Amino acid sequence: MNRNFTSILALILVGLAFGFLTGCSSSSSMPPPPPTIAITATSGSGQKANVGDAFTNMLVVTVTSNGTAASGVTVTFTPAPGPAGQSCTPSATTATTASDGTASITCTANSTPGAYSVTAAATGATATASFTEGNTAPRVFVFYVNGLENSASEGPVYYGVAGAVGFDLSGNVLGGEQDYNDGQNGFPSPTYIITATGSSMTVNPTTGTGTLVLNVSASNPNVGVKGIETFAVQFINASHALITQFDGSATSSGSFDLQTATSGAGGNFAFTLSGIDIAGFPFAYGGVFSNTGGTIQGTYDENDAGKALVGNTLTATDNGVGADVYGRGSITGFTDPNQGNEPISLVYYIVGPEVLRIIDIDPDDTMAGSAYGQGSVTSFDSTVLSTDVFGILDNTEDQLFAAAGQLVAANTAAGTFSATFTGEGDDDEVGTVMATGTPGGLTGNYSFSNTVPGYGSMTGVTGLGSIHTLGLYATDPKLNLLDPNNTTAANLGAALVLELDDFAQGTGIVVPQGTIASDGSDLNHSYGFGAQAFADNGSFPVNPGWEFDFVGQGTFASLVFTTGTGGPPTPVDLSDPYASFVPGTPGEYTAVPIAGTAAAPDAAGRYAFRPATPFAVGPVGGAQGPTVDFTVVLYEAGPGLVFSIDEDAESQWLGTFQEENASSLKAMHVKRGPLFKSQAKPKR
Amino acid sequence: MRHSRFISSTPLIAGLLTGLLLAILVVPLNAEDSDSRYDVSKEVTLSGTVSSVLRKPAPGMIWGSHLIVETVSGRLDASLGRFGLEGKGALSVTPGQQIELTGIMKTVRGKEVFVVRSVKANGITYALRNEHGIEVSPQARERAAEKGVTL
Repeated sequence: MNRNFTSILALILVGLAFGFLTGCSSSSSMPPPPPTIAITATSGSGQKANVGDAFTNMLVVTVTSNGTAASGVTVTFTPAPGPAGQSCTPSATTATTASDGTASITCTANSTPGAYSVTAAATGATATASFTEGNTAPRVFVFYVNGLENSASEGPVYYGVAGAVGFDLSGNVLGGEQDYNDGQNGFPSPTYIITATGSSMTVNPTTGTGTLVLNVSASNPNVGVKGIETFAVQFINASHALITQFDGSATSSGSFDLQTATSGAGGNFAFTLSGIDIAGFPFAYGGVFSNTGGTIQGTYDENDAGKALVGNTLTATDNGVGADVYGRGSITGFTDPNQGNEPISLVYYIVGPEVLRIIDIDPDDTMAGSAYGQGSVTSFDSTVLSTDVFGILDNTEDQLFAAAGQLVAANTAAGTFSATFTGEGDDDEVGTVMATGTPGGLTGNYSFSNTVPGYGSMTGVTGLGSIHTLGLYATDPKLNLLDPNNTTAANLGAALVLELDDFAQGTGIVVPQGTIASDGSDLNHSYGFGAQAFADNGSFPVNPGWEFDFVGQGTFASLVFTTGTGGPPTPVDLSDPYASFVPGTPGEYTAVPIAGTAAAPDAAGRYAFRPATPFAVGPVGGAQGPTVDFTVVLYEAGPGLVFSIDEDAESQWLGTFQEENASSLKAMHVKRGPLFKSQAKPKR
Repeated sequence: MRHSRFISSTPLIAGLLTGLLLAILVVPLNAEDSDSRYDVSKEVTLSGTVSSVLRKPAPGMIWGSHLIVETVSGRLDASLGRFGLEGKGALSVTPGQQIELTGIMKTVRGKEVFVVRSVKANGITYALRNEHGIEVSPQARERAAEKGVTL
């Protein structure tokens, strides 16, 4: 019995063992497929945070296995720093997925502004997920200049720069980016990175005069001085400054404005651009366009080396700013009608919803300019102009003229699109003074399209030298064209202009004029001022350029203008790389005194510094340096804004005096500069 | 289109006659400044001998470099512009040299000046301004040369 039982049990066990083994054999020969692990960025991409701050939303990924949420999977988060070092610090480098398949971290922006990515990799997944994030600076200023570069290989050539620089709340430069273009002469874009190291801005909070240093050496060590660009700045208020390059590598004038938006360039705009075309000749554009969802449509005029083509159809694409944290966007599809519709690549930096600084970034042509919003106005008629003042300046590589004046529109009416004007103006063309403020001596007609909002022209202009035809492009009547963040001032609007005659292609603005005190007492204020000047070819052939620029601060008191309030030294920076002041000696001069007494204004708000006294600049370069007397005329738009024009045989300029807001300056969050030293010697 | 424009040379005799006629007709009494427009329809071609090369203007002259040229009708102030003697491919002439000038006569600051659009010297034509009087920069010269076009 026992033996039989034992045998049966053994057979059963053998059978079980056989069955088990064959089963195993069957299993190992047909393994199940591995699960497909996938990872996606669920939320948290596209955020922006100030440097040092955590992003508001978590960076969340979802991991699936064969399409089903996978729990317990390890996810590794890895920031990929941008070229300036911008990145974020994750709360953890790894996270494990929960039952719903999600894993998340927080991330804290590091100290460098800029866009970058954070990748997330799941164990077992072949692909990664990516987040695009951006670190922003608490305060960003957008700047642009254009002028004359001192090219070592090509001699003096037109150039333009546009960019944005970010600051912390203590006034330290955190970084930035810029586009620089001198049109086939060695320094075209791509974008240069402004690094925090080696960059700075110091400003005297009393005068508003300061120095901005931008280090772009990592991108291009050949611009500025070994990649260090120095600009003289003259703040008008805490959000606006005049600016000129101040390092001898180039000289130029422009604007430096607080940025109030970094995206959204939509709406209706008027614009002007000026520069050098693909053939090396000066050219300029003006027009109007609408930007709806990135589709740009409009009408524009071109003057290319004296050949004007008007009424061109503008069709282009605004590619937006993407992940850029400095409000840098691009426009494609803009073309040059005078060059077979050669495409022109444009980049813009957003100052605010209604102001764009624009630069042409092609390697063989270059331009700089601005676009200004038209606000909610949908139809611009003859009432755009009333009593206005204007200033027009030629491109520095063009024929060289400056003009300013007052115009008084007549026969205007709502719904009427054409009218006439009279007025008076001053005009200096290559040293030949063609008009000197003859009351009633300026006449002309103007009109706006009744179908293309704000697109117009001035025709039959007489009394302003060779200027007979201008393109006229209306802007938002509530927008300050020179100080876009300051909309409480008077003189808002009215239009941009483009010279359309065949002798030159200057650009300018027309702004409304307010009430003018007959004795000039309404100018008794502190002003920041500056000008872009053309002179008689410097110290050619040793220094063959012809431009100088200056910015500074001064005060009017009973028609007497002086720089500085406590006597010398004075806060004026004069950029003269072509030795127009000290023969044979180029220089970047600080603390240059300027003084003069103007005659009381005429009824048009025109002040003349001669014959009362000249507008005396100097001594330049020290007490023994020359003092140069200029014949300067002012046209007052109002106490807040005054145009200046120099009309000498050896020079001409167009500039502005802009009333300073002293309390605003004192509250500026910028590094305070040292008190002004004694008259500086040339830096070169 | 601008680049394909050729500046045709004028026979010497025509230039001399034109210069003589110009000397008779274009010098007005109490001359007022012309505007800055370059009226190509008034263009003439003159021949003469260079007496001076002024790399910088003398007092009272318009900006840029100048040639003082002796023509059959007298001495001529020929304006070459800012770029006339500057950069690669610039005009190179010396006193005593025979040249042919194409341009227009203008009154600037009360003085007669011949605004030169092109100079023919040593068999080479140098373009200094375009048909609108816009000065040809060294960069424009260089780009035209690279593309094989004549300004």
